[in-house]
Amino acid sequence: MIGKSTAHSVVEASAVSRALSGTVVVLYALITITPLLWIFLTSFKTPSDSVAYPPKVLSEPTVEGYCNLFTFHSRQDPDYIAHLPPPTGRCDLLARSRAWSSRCFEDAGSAGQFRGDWLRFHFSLGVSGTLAAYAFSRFRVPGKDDLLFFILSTRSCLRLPLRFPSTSCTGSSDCSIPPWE
Amino acid sequence: MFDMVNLLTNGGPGSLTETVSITLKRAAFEKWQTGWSSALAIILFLTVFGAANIYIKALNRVKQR
Repeated sequence: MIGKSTAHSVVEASAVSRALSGTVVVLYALITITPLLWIFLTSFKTPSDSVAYPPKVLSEPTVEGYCNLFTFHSRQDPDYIAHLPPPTGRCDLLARSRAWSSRCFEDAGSAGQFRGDWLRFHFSLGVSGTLAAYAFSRFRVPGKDDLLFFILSTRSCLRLPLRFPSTSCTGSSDCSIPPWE
Repeated sequence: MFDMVNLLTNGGPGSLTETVSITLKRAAFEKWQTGWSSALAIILFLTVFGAANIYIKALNRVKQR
């Protein structure tokens, strides 16, 4: 005779504990994602709204931050702006409303070229750093132990030995950090 | 790449050793260009997130072979 089994696991979570742990996880996720959401909202705020007190959660969205990130802008006097050709896009229009002239990096001379190169270099650095970290974590890399030991030891090292190269040349104008800092 | 540079040089002298995260911090908390630095943070996050996703998917495909 085959009866219905009444066996159950003694470690199986009850409905209450499952609901409780689910609530904690959701709350934790909300708390950790809040700064990211705040950064996202701030990226669409005007400079005055982004530092307003009391803080404005929602404001008139603008792409000014992104425009300034990918174009080179310089402050100009109103006469100069009045004699410029018509604005070529939204970013140009935004820049002129703040008495700036806006140009692509490549058209902005050496300063703009430097800024463009700098951005491209650092984004490629961020991407390659992410890939290298993943490779370290998943694959056998020659000299991996030594490299990781070097990285970890310099991170857990005291401040003073790390500062030594910069403090040793404080007397010259090249160094910006005093030894006592 | 933030804490090491922040500890050693803080991006200096000038901006010679500045990494993107140091620039972000300087723009946000020293120059108060909060909108600009938030835009940079979002673009950086999307770049790294996208690159990491593509990389992981490609590696998983290699592993399955």
